[in-house]
Amino acid sequence: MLRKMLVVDDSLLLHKMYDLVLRRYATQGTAIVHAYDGAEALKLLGLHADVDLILLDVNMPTMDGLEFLRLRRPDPVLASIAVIVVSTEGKDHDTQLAMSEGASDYITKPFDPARLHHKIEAILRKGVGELRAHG
Amino acid sequence: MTTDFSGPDRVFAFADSLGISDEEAPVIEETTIPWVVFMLTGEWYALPVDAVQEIIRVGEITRVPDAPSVVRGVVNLRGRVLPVVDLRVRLGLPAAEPDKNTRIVVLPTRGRWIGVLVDAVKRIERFRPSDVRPVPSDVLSERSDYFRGVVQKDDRLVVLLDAEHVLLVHEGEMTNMNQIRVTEQ
Amino acid sequence: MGNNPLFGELLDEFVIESSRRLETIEQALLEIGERPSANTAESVADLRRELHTLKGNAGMMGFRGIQSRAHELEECVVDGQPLTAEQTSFLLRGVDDIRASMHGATTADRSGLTVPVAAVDAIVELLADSMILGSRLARQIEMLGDDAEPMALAWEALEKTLTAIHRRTLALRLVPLNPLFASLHRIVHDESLSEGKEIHFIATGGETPLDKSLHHVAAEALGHIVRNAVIHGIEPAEIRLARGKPAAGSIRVSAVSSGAEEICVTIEDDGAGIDRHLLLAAAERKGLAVSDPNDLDSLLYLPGLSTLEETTLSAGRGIGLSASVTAVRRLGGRIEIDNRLGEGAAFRLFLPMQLSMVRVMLVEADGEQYAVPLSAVATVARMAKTELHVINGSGAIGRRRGLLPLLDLGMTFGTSAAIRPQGTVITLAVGGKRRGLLVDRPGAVLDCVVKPLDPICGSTTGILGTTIVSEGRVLLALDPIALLERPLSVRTAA
Repeated sequence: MLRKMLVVDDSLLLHKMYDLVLRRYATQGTAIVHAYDGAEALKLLGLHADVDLILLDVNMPTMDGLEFLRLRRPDPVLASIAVIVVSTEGKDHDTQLAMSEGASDYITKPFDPARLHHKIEAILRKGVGELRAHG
Repeated sequence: MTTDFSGPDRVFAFADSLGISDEEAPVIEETTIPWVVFMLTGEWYALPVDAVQEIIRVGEITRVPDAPSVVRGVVNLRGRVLPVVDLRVRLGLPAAEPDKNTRIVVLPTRGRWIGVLVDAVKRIERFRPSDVRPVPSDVLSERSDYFRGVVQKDDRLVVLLDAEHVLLVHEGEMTNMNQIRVTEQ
Repeated sequence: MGNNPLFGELLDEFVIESSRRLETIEQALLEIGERPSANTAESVADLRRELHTLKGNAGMMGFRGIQSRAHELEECVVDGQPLTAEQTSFLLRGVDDIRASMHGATTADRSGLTVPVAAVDAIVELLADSMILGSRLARQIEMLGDDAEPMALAWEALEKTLTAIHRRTLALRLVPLNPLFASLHRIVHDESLSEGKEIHFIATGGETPLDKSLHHVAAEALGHIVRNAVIHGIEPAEIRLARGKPAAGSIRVSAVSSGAEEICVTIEDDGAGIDRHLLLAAAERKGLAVSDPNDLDSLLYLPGLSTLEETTLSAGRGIGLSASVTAVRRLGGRIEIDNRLGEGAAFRLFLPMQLSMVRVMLVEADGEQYAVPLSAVATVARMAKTELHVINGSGAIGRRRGLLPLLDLGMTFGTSAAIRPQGTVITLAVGGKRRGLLVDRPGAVLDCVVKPLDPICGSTTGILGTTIVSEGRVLLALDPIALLERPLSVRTAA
């Protein structure tokens, strides 16, 4: 079954990296939907309701990661999609906030791509059912 | 910014440098037009200042083999390859070797620049359109469209040329440069 | 953390994105410095975010130095507070530092990688060769007459495709002028700051493309021109006001492509214009010989006249104005000046949109120099009197393969009436045809730009066009194929 991942980040470099991570490490086919800020991400979620995982950068112009998390809360379908938040060294406060706003896991830049892959697989393998229970 | 930078500045600067701009300060009732006056075989000719980009000295002219006899060659003008038309040949006068007074008058035409070789540049004169007379028959050659008319200036006759027409190369002039060259030896 | 295992594949992307980000940051800083209204909490927050992302990306790539410098810059910016002039300068210096480190870090890691430009060049050269061979084929087909109609049509179709490939490949090297404009903006900003002048900078046409290899030459020449405009062109505020001009000067940079062949970049200022007399006086003071006092260009480009060649500000930035103008001309470009004393000056830099340089060998015959495309030259050898054979008025020289027919260059172009008894034979070889070009002596090998002759010069077979070598006269560039197919000299009547 094709898995779908939404990547939300304003850096093209990171998008390319996530793409490479999946191609290099993933054992199953995974499609990536690319968004460059929170507003675009919300729009794309409207079109791709079957997204299995969101990789979310906390720090973005227009609408940052925290804002995105808050705005998706009222929608039960969107709110149930697992999110891995990507933050930076020294931004622990933001990371904690993100976790309390409904993120499932986090990873701090700079990170080892293999470690990110590990986290992605952990969530995707668990399956959608169990995660939706968290609401 | 709507400043307009035009060629005549160069021409006037050149005239200033020669110290030969119009000395008389006439009371101008009728609009006068400025012309660049130059010499060919001892006769005086002129081209309109607004048709002239600038006037340069003759450096090294590179011959172009098989070019029409009226084209003397090309010169390097600040990185631009400028074709040089021999105005003597164009007007049916005998060609001559350039000397220290020879100049090239640069004329912008149809999107590029072409230079014409003249014996010497004399001055910038202002003429009134009412002073212009038709060209007398002894000056006229078969091609009358080169000429705009003549003006009597003091005791001299100045032949006014048409910049556009003087630069058009006609079929009859596409002669073989090679032959001319070899026979000159 | 160790190095990112995906490093190699991500490096290009990192360099491109970070360069863009640095440009954005720099532009924002210049904006904030020039317009107080741009110095808002919002734009400062944006700036901080950009620096933050830059830091993160550098960290992901393992570039610790860049990461920590970016961190310093990020820390300098306080959210919600407009930037002070000191902060802006500090940040601009930081941008320079990061750019410098990026250059150092990435080139070091690129050892062994093929630079894409060279790969493109190789393809372009092959295409040029195929076009030469193609026109040979075309002539052969022509000679076959009407029977070869299907062949002629097939060739035409192939030729169209080759031309299209050639065009597209050359286009790969086209890069918009925007980054160049950004650096000019930066120069204006820095220089006007140190001169204590307020100058508005306006740029249009940054999307105009120019061959990548020409960017450097253009940048150098335009950099000098724009510096001159700030330092010598724009007058101090008091003088401007006394002249009825606004206190702030303005420098406008615009680029257009004229036709498909050339681009024109104009730098226009509303300053004092260029005063020839001042330049002359400066030249006299320095004891410099001026070739033509009336020629503005010869004055401006006098080596050693421009104070910028001595200044430490641009130390290490390369050559002076006169040398960069020479470089522009060597590439088939030129600079024109429109000058209005008291009102301002406009410098126009013309460059061919695409660099098409041909490697040539200069040869001399009867005092005239010509450029021969090196790709057509097989051998170069001196010819002694005894080696020349004249058969039916045509020259030939004995070679291992047999007799090599000779074409005397002077006779071909009408500078001599007979075959020279001794000289140098340049063997031209294209496809299967060979012929010796007899000249007086060979000259240097160099790269030059060949431009077609103006139509007024007619069409001369045997000439590809003209080229300008260094500062000198115009040279004719020879067409090897036409020379290989030209009827050999027939004995002329005595």
